[in-house]
Amino acid sequence: MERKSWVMVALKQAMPIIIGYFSISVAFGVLATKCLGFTSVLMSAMVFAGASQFVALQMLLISAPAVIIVFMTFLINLRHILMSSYLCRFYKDQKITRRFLLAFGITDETFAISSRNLENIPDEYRFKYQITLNTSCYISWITGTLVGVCTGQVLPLTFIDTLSFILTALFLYLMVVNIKKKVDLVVALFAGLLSLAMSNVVGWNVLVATLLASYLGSKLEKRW
Amino acid sequence: MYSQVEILCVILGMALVTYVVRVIPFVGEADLEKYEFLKYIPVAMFSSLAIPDMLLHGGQISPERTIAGIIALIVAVKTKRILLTICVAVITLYVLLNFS
Repeated sequence: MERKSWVMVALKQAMPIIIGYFSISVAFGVLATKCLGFTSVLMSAMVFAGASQFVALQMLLISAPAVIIVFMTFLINLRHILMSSYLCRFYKDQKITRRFLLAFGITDETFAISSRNLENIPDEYRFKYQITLNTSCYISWITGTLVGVCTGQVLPLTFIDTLSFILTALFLYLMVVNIKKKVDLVVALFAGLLSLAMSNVVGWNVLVATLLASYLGSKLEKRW
Repeated sequence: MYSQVEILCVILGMALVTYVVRVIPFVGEADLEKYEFLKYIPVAMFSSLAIPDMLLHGGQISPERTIAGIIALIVAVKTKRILLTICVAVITLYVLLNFS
């Protein structure tokens, strides 16, 4: 296949993600209206990592210390290192600048698509394919955030206050779908209860509970 | 609350740590198989964020949020549908806060 058609393949495969990202980032923009305003578009453009942006938003809403927000972002995005370590084998011969560009757009979703397909794509077209996939999803993420903030401007503030429970429900949902075995359940319960018990030290409770519970999980895994 | 400068610092910090994590394997070799606790971070983090926020509001126990949260959990477990879970949770909370 010629170069142009690999761009089309990438766009076609990106379509579900583009639609998904758009709706999620609209929600992000609406919820961020009060505490970030249009700065949320900057966050989407510079961070481009959905789960961590929602986590940061929630922590900004409860006035957690800035350092903790950055550290939580680091922790939740650590998983990208596993995806990058898998993908980088396909780009060993690429120029360093190209690899720097590719790395920016790696998310759970772009990884899910490209890791399935890269083996079937000829070496010389892989960069073109991946950069098209990443960039189209990136544009959707930023556009959605912008649309969300604009929508948020016209919604009454009290309405947005009730809507902030969306974040709680979102995290409850993400917790549920991440519980696949007994250890996960124990980790979730331990983290939730510890974080609750420490809830007077805002921000730190999430950090300490996350680290201790994950450590507990890795230890239990070996025994069970 | 936060000043504009603080917000910008948070965003810059987030951008930096996120990019570093994404780019490291592309410039060097990273062997992370041995750090098993990494895979438990998402579930632990979502739970430690959600549980206090579902039970408490402004430091006090909130029965409305607790009920809405429990219903959200049930919907999430039964259907595994994200939008349904969120809609049911928010509507339940709205009804409990305004019509009871």
